[in-house]
Amino acid sequence: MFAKYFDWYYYKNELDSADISETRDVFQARLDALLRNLLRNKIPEEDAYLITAVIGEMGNNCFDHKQGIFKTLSHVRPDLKNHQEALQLAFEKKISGRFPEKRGNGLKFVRQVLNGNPSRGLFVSSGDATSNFGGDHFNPLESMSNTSNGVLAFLRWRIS
Amino acid sequence: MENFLKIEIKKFGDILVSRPAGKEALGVILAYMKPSSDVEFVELDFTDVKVMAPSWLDEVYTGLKEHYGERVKLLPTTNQSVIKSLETILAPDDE
Repeated sequence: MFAKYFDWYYYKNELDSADISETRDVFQARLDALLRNLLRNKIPEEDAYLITAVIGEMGNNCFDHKQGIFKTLSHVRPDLKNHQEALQLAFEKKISGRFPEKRGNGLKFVRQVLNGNPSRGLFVSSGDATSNFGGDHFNPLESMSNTSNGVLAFLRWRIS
Repeated sequence: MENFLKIEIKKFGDILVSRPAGKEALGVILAYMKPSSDVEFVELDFTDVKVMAPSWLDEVYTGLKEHYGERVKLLPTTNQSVIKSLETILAPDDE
């Protein structure tokens, strides 16, 4: 199911435009559809709302910054050493890529929703770095090199 | 007797996630939902909101606090996406 997305991310293969949210409006429309689908498939409301919030926050970050994690945070933290440090900073600290605006909550929210829950996990790859957040640790890139442009994120959320 | 202006957040939609949408909502609230006096409280009511993310809430809540300060109040909610979003934006800065 995810093979075509891996190929797009790693090998820059073409992807159908139907698989890409080119604008924030398209993304928002897909988010509405996602919530409807989750509820139609009997996912409990609380889980469906949180899943949609997490994906909504992460997706909107792409449109807010457009530069990826390392490059965005390098503007406010020029001492950032590498992608790994940027990834941790993005999800663990309340820091904005748009200093002096007092922002930068979104990814911390994502981490807080997932952490401590063994049935929720997020895998993120950014540049040559990877990281897991939440209680469910996994690595869908295990057999591949971790170097690519952009950010790849996988959310796994098990319903008990 | 204290007066309250209740703002029904659901009027802005039931999936509230992006900063631009939050900024737009703040503009509407400041322009058209003004307290009738400078002592009236402004209450945010999250009833029937399904999905909230901190980016949207930060724009609205922080924006209203800048205008009305301690007069901004939050009505209780059981929606976890609202609760977690609030916890996130109210957490102290790391730096």
